[in-house]
Amino acid sequence: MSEALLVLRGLSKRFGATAAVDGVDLEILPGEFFALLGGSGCGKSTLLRLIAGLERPDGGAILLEGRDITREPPYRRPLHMMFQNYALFPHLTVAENIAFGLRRQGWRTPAIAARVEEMLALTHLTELAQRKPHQLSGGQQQRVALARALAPRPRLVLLDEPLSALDRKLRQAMRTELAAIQREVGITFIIVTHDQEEAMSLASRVAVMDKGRILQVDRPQALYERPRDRFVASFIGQVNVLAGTFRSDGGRLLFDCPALGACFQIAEPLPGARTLAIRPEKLRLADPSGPRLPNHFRARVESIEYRGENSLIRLEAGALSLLALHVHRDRRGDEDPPIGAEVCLEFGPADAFLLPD
Amino acid sequence: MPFSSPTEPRTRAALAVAGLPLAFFAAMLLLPLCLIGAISLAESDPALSPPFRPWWSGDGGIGLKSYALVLEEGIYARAWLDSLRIAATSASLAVLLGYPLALAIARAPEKLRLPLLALAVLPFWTSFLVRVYAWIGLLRHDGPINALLLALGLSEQPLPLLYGEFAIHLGIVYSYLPFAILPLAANLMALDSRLLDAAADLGARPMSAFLRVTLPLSAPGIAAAFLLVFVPALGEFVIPDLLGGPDNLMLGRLLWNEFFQARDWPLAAAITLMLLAMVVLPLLFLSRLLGRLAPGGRG
Amino acid sequence: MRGIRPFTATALILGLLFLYLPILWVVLLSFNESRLLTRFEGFSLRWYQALFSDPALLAALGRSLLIALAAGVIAVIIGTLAATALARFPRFRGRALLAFLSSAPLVLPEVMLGFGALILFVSLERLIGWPAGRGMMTIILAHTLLAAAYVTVIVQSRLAGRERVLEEAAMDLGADPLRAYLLVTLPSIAPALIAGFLIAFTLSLDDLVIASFTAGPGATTLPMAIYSKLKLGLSPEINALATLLVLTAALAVSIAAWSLARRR
Repeated sequence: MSEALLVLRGLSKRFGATAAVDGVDLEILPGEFFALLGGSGCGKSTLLRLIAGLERPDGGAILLEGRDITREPPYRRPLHMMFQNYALFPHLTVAENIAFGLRRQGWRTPAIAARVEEMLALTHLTELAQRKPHQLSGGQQQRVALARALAPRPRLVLLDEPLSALDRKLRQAMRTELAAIQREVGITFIIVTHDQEEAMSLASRVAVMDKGRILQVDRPQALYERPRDRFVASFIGQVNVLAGTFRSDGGRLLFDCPALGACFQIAEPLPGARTLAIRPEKLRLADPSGPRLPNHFRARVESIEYRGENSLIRLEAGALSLLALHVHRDRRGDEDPPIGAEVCLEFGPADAFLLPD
Repeated sequence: MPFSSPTEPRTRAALAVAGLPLAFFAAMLLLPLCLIGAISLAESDPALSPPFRPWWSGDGGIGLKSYALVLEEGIYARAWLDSLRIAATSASLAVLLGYPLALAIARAPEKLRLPLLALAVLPFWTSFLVRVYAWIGLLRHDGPINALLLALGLSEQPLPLLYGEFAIHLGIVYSYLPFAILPLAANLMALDSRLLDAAADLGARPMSAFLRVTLPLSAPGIAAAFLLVFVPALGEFVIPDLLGGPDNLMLGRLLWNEFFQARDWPLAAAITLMLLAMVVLPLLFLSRLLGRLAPGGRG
Repeated sequence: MRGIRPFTATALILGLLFLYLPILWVVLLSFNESRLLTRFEGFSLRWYQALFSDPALLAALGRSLLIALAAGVIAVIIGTLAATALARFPRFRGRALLAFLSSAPLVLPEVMLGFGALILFVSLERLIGWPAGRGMMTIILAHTLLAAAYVTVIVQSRLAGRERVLEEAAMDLGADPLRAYLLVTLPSIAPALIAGFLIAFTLSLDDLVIASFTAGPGATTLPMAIYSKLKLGLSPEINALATLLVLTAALAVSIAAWSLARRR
């Protein structure tokens, strides 16, 4: 644990009566690409500003490489931020923007020139070095902001919604580039985003935040497959939630679901759990000849949202409303069922997971 | 509040920055206010320099004589009423005239709106004196306006347009029209044109859509426009002096005359304080209105 | 968007004619061959020649330019400090007072500002011997009062925008607060400073009332000279002078507007 680059201990920040950041503990490892994910107002941006020193915490501590920097002003912290709307200095050229942090650190002129060249090359901006920010496109401005933050070789780069100002297509391209640049420079990145797809695809670890607290920190795959929190489960992707009781019966793990009048086999225990969750794509339409998986129940098709590669089917089973994702593979008998039809749904024991209350 | 934000420096830095301007504005505004207050209670004495007896150093009496004079003496009392009346009527006229222009600017194609607004406001920034002076030439009995009236047969002989209340009203409306247009245009431009479309869609003819939708919603703009003309007009000197007759005394001109001609500083001081009292209420109201017209900063 | 409708076009044309015709009339007459002020009888520059051979007017012009320059510079310094304090320090003792005092000159009648300034100068002279007498110095100070109020408003609205984020970015990159302000904020609000200076310059150049109160016997400014000539009756030279004044002011304010509206 001592190898952590950044340690947050019980960090809190209130704005008036609301706790923007509420007792956050977190450890960031060197070289990591870490994402803070959450809806608007969850406190993720405030947490980032606390790390940058742009806000002062009401309580808790921030340690960088073991050193307490909680009280350091932003200009003495060896970490840089890429601001949401880039905050490029409008009166300086691209090269001067990139050199700004180097000059503040007292680099010598030749060293500055070399480092700026290097950064321009890294971000493919060499031809635009003498332009002013307003002469650049959104994607180019974004790269200048990144180069400016990377240039002084910070221990840590903080990125506040770095892609949100770009249009959808550009966002895809910049995502790939951002990941490539992070791998190349090997500097630790912490990114703040509300876009789960962005967080999952970029980061090696993701922290999901809500109401100023971190609910779960994990690898993207673990977050999706085994969320440990009801909010996390529903925030990342869609999920069907079934109420019932968990029990263990002679080595078999079972979940009784009174609403469906069924008892399902499951793979992982969680004593006391009263909620079973299944992702829509794990809920399959059983073959008309009969179900093949141990867990199955009947439901009625309410509506179908055709989406090309798949269809999202809304179903009703008793008083329950459920979602199933029906993937279209290129074979016969794979058409969507008619609306109003009675179908059989099935899933395997490892396809569902229990959630704590 | 346990900490202030680290990017928001401390009180000592604030005072280092604010010190000079605070001292300057206080010295140039608050100090004169106290001095004027003291002088307004003194006795006038044209033989002295400055021409009053400073009661604070034991010379002469202290009293409300100057105030009594301003309130009771016929010529001053008339100046009060005339100032209020002329400022009110010309402010109303400026709103009446500015409204269609502001509405036209607000309804012009989007690209033209700001250039047109700039064009309407630019005259305010060209020499005030020149703009008032221009009307002397235009309104003379042998000037172009009278020539036009004669040529069109609208009048048998040249009309005495200059040196009277007509010219003063005209001068105030002309000079302060940009003041009326600005808040009105800001208000009308912020009005969602979809409201008018909705009104039309619900069967309102243009005129009734205007009367039932646009006009009520532009009430704050109208009030601000009125006050922005009314307040400076109350204390106006140049316009009544150049365009008015000798007996068109408004408060600003009265103050000027008492100071430069009668050399009665206590009286001038009393007039200043009473003028101040008259503009304070409208100003407080105005700042609330302007705050409402520009909610939360820039778009 | 609908096209320009008849009402819109009519209101615009009539309104702008009303605003501009009187000024254009003065400009036209300034090029009049004849001494007559009622009819245009041919193009001539003789009134401009007359103007430039009038030493008293030229002296007044020089004095006015100098006063406007000095008042403009001081107003930019004081106004920028005031605007910085108001926009950057949300809580300090005296903030409300500064906000109130710095906006009061915008709306107070000029006779009050002029009279108040004069009383102040006279009292100060009696008390501490400064300023000795009235002259350009006192006019500059009084004009600075009015001009600084305008500069404060202009700069403050600029500072309230996105420059706060720029300061944060500068600090994040290692600049302490003072450097962040000097290296980033000040350059990026330069257009507002230029605009503020030009507006201040124009206000001072054009002011009759405040200057009349605070000028000593020798310090006649251009508007004061024009005013005393007007009191004697109209003359074609004044038209020429008025034209020059209008052009200067229109130019200064157009540059100011352009400087503020320009994309940064």
